[in-house]
Amino acid sequence: MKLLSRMMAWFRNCNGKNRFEGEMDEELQFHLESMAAENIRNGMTPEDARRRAKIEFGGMDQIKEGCRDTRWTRWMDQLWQDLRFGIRMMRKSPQLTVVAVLALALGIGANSAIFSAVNGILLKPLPYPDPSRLVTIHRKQIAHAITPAELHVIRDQCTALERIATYSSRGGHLVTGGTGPRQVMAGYVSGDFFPIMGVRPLLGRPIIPEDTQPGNEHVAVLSHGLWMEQFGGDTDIVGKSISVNRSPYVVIGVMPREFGAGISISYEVGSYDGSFSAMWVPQVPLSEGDRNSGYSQIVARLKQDATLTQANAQLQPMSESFAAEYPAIYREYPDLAEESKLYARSLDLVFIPGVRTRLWILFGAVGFVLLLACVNVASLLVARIWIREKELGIRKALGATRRRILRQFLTESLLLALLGGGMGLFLSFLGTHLLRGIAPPYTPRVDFIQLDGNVLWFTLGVSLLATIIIGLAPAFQAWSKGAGSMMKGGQKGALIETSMKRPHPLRNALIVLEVLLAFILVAGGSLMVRSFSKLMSVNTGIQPGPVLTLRVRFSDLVAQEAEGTQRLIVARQVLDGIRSIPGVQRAALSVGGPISGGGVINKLGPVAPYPGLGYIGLYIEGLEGDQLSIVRQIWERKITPEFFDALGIRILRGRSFNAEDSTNPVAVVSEDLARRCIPGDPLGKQFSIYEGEDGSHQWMEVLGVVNNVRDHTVVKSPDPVFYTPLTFIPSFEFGISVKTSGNPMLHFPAIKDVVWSADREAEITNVRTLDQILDRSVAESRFQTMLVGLLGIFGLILAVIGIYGVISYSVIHRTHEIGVRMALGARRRDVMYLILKEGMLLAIVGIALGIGGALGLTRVLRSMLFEIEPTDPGTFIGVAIVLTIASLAACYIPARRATKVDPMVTLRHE
Amino acid sequence: MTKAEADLLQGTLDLLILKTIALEPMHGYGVSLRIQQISRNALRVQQGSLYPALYRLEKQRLISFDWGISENGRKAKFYRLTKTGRRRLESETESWDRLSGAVNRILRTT
Repeated sequence: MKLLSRMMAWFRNCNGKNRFEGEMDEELQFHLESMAAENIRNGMTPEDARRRAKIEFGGMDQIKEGCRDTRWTRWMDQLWQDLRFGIRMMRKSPQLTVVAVLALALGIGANSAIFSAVNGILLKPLPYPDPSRLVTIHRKQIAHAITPAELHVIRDQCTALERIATYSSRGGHLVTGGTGPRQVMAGYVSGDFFPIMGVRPLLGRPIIPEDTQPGNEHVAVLSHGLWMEQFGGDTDIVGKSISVNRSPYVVIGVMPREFGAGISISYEVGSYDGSFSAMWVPQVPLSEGDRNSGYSQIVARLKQDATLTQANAQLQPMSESFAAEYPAIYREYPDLAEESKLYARSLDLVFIPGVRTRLWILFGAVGFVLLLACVNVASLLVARIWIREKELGIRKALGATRRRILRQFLTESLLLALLGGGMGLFLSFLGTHLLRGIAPPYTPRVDFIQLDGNVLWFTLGVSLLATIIIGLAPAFQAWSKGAGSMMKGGQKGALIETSMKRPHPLRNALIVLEVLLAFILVAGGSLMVRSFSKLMSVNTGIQPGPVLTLRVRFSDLVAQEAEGTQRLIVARQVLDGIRSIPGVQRAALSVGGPISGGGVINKLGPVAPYPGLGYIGLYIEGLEGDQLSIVRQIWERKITPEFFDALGIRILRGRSFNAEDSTNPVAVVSEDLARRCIPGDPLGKQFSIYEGEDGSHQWMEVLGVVNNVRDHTVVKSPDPVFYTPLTFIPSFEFGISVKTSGNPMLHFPAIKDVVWSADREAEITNVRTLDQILDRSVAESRFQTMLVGLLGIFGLILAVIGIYGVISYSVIHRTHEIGVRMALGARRRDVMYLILKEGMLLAIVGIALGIGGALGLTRVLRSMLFEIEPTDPGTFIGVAIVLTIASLAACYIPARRATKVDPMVTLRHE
Repeated sequence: MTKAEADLLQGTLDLLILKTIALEPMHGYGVSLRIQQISRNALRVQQGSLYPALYRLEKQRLISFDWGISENGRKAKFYRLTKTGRRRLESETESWDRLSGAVNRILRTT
């Protein structure tokens, strides 16, 4: 402070302030004396003359102020005055300052943190040249592929496109070399892909058309991330051989960081990073007659003069003609036509469905919090006007203009907002770390959540916005009171005119708004929490327990020597070995592990027209033609008999497999499959899922029915599943589920030894306990619930502080009135009621309006809610009760203080 | 104070000040006296308006000042018109004539 004053003094000297003041004094003094001299000439005594002159002259200080106003350095002087005064005001009411700065810091900090996520995930431009011309074409339902025949037609007829490449993301690529095996996602690209993207590799060369010739395709271009993490950024990597799914691939190039962003539409679990492919390999063109495979998407560039609308117009008739080829299926499933529609869209940084919406919702929610924080601070400042009445009265009497008072308040609020903003920036720095830490797995671009220039500017902008909101309200309030009443006022003479009769429309409106905003936030948070608790209590169909799941992939040695059945023999040896480990209760083989989605389940080849369409015929013995059941997805899982026991899946009817069944064509079906597809008693019925071209079927007999298992994701209702005995291992890979006693992870070393004793080079991946899998599947929900729930709690706290603060000021302001009332016989209860009524009326109006606002706004949460309506009446009532109680508590403390008023003390002040 | 005295428009005050000191350099007190005398007490300039106006005009470089000795022997600030001030006075006088002439014509029309 001292240093600052000195600097200001120096500055004043430099700009001639002292000289200015001196000259002005001199000049005005001269005027005054001349007037006095004139009076003397007119016959007055010197004393009278001087007095008379002074009266006529008017307020010296006001005139000086008027003159000072003309100076250019004036605003700096005033700013300095206001700043000093603002700091004094802040020090005078430290509680208010702390509350205001904290509220603003949290509000601004939350905004900066979420903005840094919006900025990093949504707003950064794509890292490709001329990105606005880049388009991708896929079906509306991204799981449905584009066939080679369609590609041909698109290439021919879609003239809006300049160049076309195919792109198919596929997960489940096991890369070895460098540090240990790693499951990654690979993009299969045609030769045109890299030229279309127009980005040069960091090292080596991109994939060229020659690479896509059969026999040349075992080359790979690595992403920056994979290169760094798996190969330690080895600059000599180009030309080296790595192993991808046990085949040797030669690394031909490494792409720069961020390459790959926004291209892939797939978001298979198990991918390297939600939206990035970890490597790119050549796609050998599919033969045009191939109906069982396809490309997941097309990446293309628009011609210079073409637009996206034109491209879509050209695609439209194609979708229709493809649909016309398969009338039967499209008749059966009307939404299929819509889902399989081809459309072109600009490449987006993020195309994980929902991420964009959810982020904007969060951004909106933190915006609400900031608004609430500002309203909170504004209401406190407005309430404080009551005890600043005297000061403001003096200011006005001394000639402060409306602008001057506004400026003073804005300076005070600027101080608060900048302090809050500075702290907020620090909080958001912590917040971004927290966000990165607790973000659900596979959140795209999570590394890009950071504080950069944009975030800093945003924070500054938000702070200034807050300044205006919290500064305007008290300034308005201050001005709307007459200067005269203020001079008289302070807390004494104002009894009759201010505290009893005069309504406080601005303050009341702010409190109501505060409660309203808080209601919306708390309602949103409560909905999320309730939805999450419902999610957690979902019956997944699997008994939670100490179960360890892992995936094993045999080495080439075992895998290639052995046929499918031979592999099973090795696998069974492993299984027996695991069973003999002390503490292991049950062990089963399957193709994968439960709930994690990828790899768990054997998805069947479709009989529907497009690869990946997922519509399969389920043929039931004795039913034909129209009675044929068509289900959207059906999953087959090959298991050993103990599988149900290990995971606690219950047999509802019939029985499970036994050792003899392994050679018979039998199956156990899920409850859902039995109910939806098999009329009558399912036990003993024969069914098939595939009809050969000669009409032949591989019939399976239903042995039993088990409960549904939500093993793809907890949120979605289960798809029909049937289980068949594991008679051979179709791929190199299988899953093991082990039920143990105690912590399952403790048994992993022993299990690992068993696996490695059968095949020393077997790779073990995806080692997880059932709890971990479950946890992972609700991670995103938990993340959102935490954030929105926190905002709700924060909203509640702010509202309570706001009501408490305003009512406290009101009590101070009304002390005199209360004293009079008590002196006239009011009991403590009456006083208590008086104060409670003042606060509760406002709170209740706020809650009522809040219900209306929340009914309108919680709708946007719908996509994030699970099995609960966004307008759930129970939640709304609960929130209303909580807010009422909280408001009551906030009013009670100052009300109690009011009852402690000693009438003698207050009246003596008169 | 009558209505006529009170409603001296800001622009009008500037014009009066310019005109007053156009005759000879003058201090603030002199300016207020002179306006009062010439208007035969009809216009009385308050110090609260006069000095801010003087400072403003000085800042606009229409007038400047020198320190001199007043008639009663005291040090005083004497304002004088600058070249721009003189030009401004001419143009302001002209537009004032036009305005007052127009207003008069309207008021005289019956």
